[in-house]
Amino acid sequence: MTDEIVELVLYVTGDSGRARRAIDSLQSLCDRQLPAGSHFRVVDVVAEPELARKARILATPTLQKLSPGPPRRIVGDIASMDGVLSALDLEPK
Amino acid sequence: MNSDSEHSATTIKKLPTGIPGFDHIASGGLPKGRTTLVSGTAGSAKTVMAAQFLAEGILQFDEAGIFITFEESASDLRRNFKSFGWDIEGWEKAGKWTFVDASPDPDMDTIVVGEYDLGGLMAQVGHAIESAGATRLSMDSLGAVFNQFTESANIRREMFRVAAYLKSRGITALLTAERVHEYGDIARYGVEEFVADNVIILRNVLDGEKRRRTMEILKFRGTGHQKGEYPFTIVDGEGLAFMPLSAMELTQPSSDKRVSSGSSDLDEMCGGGFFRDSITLISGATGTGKTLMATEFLAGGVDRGERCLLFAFEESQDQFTRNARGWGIDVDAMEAKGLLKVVCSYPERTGIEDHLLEMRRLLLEFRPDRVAVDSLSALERVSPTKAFRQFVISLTSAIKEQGTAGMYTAATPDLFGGSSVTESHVSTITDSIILLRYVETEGEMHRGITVLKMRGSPHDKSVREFVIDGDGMHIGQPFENVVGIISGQPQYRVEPQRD
Repeated sequence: MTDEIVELVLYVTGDSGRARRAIDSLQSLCDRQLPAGSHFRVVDVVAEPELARKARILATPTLQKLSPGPPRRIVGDIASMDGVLSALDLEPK
Repeated sequence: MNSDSEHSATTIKKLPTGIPGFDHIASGGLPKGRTTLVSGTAGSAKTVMAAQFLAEGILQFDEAGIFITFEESASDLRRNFKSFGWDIEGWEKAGKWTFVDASPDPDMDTIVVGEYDLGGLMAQVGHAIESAGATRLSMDSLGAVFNQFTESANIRREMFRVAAYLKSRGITALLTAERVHEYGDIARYGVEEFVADNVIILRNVLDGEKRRRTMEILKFRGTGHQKGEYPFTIVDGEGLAFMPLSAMELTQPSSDKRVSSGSSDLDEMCGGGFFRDSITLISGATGTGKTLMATEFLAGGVDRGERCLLFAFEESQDQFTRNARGWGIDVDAMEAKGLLKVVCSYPERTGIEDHLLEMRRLLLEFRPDRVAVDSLSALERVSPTKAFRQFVISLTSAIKEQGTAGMYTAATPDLFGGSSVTESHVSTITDSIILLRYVETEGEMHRGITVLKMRGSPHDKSVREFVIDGDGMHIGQPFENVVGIISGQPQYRVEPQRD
């Protein structure tokens, strides 16, 4: 369970400060706390509104866990948050 | 220097919604390029109005729209609105209707942890504006937004941003919001009023044991609208229909052309007949001959080749036809000629607003030269006072709009004298009032008729006796030596007084 690769999608709006902060925070989370091989994709809702529509994304940033386990979403700035992993129903490595 | 641009900034244009009756009350429609808040309690038809705003835009103006739903899912709405005859799925395929489905996803756990914006929502809306050229937008509802995003300071700021964005794109938007009480705070969250400069309230209140729906435009910043509450109803297969009741409509151009009442004697009493575009009220106790007068009025029109319409709320078609035959009037023959249309309806069948819609529709369809309503009292029985008064005003304006000669009958509750509640509601609206009264003289019952009021014309002031036989109504001589007939307390003078 703990070694399972984690797949994430981060939805952001354009090239804003908030978007960059969200990407940086997620990158460091991936590097430090998630199993090797875990990765995330960034979707800019302005550039790809159809993806936002399909995923029904209203707020940005929204972090979505695709696997493992049931889908989970976190809305808002994860940098200021301690329990990101538990919120995503994940365990640290 | 910049007077032109300043002028255009302060002059707010209106966008016709196409919702029946609404644009008249709203003096042209919704403020164009602005957001209007529609606030109402649960079940006040907010969502229907939001959807109809888009539907009429597509049907009547070929304008594309965006529907953002925070509450019901898009698939539920597609299904629910089929009953109004709106083919939303077809419109979606044609690129005329775009759903932004923001309803809660039961399969997705979402946790809000910190600062966010509504960038996803705005990107979706922006995309729909670009790709479909949408100019109308409905959002349903703000309450549901607040349920999904509980961190209130953040969502308030974001809703302001959404409203500002829509304004910058020139979108005419309609936003719904819940309110707890029919009268009180405009909406539950206290923010909605600031989001929108324009506020409409939908109400659904109990009034005399009847549900009554009304709409009030609370404010349209910088532009005009009618004040007060206006009734509306939800029509199957069509949507909302509002009833404009503006007093302006009652000041119709008056014609001095006369039409026959159907009785030469009565024409004489009225100084030469009724005016073409006037409404005459016939008031009297049961059995005094009100239905007969209405029937003769219409038969007189048919004789002259005019189209005549009767709304009968007292009798069935068979009863009416049989009674008319007893007065020597052949209803079937007049109907066969296509000149007479008799619409019998049971007053309790539906609400008074729906009766009104039906009557307006028939007036427009049949385009009668004469119309009679027998009786208003039957309709008054089944409706709250305020609703009834609005009904009469609205019906009267609908009749006068077409320059149709109209006749209403009203029943007085007492056999002798007295006036009816109906009368007091109607008398100021009608142009002429004719009273029918029972008169008891020397142990015999007689019928009396008098013209109480005849706007714009001299008329006979006496109370005349009339009889009803197999040929209809015959008006005779004035009652001699009897006073107090109208008040219902006749006094008999033994000998004529000297002057």
